[in-house]
Amino acid sequence: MRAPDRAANPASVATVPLHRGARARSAIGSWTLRVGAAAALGVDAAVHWQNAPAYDAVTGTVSQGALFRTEAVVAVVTALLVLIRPRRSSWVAALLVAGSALGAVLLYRYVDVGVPGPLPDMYENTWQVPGKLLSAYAEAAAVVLVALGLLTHRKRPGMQRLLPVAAIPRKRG
Amino acid sequence: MRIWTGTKRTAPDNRARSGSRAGRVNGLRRPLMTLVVLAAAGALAAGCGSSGPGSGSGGSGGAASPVGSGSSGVAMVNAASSKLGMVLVDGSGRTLYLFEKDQPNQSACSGACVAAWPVDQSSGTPKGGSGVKASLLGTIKRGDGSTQVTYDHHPLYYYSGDSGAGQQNGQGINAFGAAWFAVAPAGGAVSGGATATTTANGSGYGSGGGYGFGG
Repeated sequence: MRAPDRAANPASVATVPLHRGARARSAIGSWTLRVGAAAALGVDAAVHWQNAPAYDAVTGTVSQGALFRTEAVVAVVTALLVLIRPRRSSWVAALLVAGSALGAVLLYRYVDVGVPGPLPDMYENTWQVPGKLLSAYAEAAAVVLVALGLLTHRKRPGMQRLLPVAAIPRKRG
Repeated sequence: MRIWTGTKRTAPDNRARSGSRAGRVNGLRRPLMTLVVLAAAGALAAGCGSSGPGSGSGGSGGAASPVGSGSSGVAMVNAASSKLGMVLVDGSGRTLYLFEKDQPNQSACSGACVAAWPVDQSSGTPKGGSGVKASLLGTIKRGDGSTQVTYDHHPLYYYSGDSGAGQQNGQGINAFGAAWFAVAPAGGAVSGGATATTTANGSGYGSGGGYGFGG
C-alpha cells in the first residue's frame, strides 16, 4: 500500500532514499558477483600456471603446458576486465573462458578424444592431480557467477536516466 | 529549460516507479545473491578441502603419503598377489607403478606429477623380497638430488589415490601424457584393467606384461 501512495504523490521526497538504497544494494550485488567471478577465475589461473611445467612434455603441435599458461593468462585478463571494466563484453569473455575451461577439464576427464588437430592428447582419467578438482570447482563457480553477472548486467546509470526524459511527451502550444 | 521542466515534473513519478520496481527486484535479488555467494564459497571450500598440492586426497580417496619408504631409509620391494595378478609392492604392501613416458633409468615425472605420483625413494640400494628379482632392482638420481628406486630400469612411483596396502587405483590411469601401470615381478607392466597401449619408445604391451626398454 505504501508504494502506490508514493507513486500517487509525485512531490513526496520519501521515494528518493528508497531509490538510492535500492541502487546501493544493486551495486553491492554487482560487486559481489564481480569479485566472486574474478576470484574464481584467479584460482583457475593459479592452478593452471602452477601445473603447467609438469605438462610441458605433453606435446602435439602445441604443448599442454603452453595451453595451461595461455589459459592462466586469459583467465587473469578476463578477471581484471570483470573487476575493473564490467561491461557486457567483459562478462561474455569471462563466460567463454570459464565455460571452455570447465568443458575441457570434464571432457578430458571422462572422454578419450585422442589427438584432435594441433592439440596434444590431454586425456587424464583422474582427479588426483594437485589443484585439478579445485580448479574445476572454481571454473564451475565462475560460470555461475559470470552468467548471473551477465543476466543482471545494466547499462550505466547515466544512460538509464536519459531514457525517461526522452520518453516524456511534450505539450503542444 | 524544457528538459529541466519536464524532468522536474516527471522525475518524482519516475523515482517512485523505478524505486518501487527496484525495491521489488532487490527483494528477489538479495536472497538470490546470498545463495549464489554461499554456493560459490562452498564450492571453493570443497575444492580446497578435497584437492591440493601434496594433500593427495582427491575425490577418489584419502591421503596417500608414501609409507614404509623414503629418503630416510632403504626401500624394500616385494611381490604380492592382487586382483591384477602378481605386482610389485613396497615394504608396507603399497602398490608400485611405472610411467609409460619414462625412458630407461630416466624419470619424466616432476612438479605436479610427483605430487600425484610420489616417487619410491631409497637412501641406499633397495632390497628385494620374495618373488622379486634382486638383479633388476636399482636406483637413479633425480634432479632434486633424491634417489628413486628402479625395477628393470623403470623408475617406480606410488599413486596418491591409493590410501593403503592392496590397492591399485592407479592402474591404467592416463595422466601427464601417458599411462601408469602396476609392475609385474618380471619387470613389465601389468596390463589387467587397462587398455593396452604403445609405449613412447615403441615397445608394446602384451597380455603378460611385455613392457620393456629393450635393454
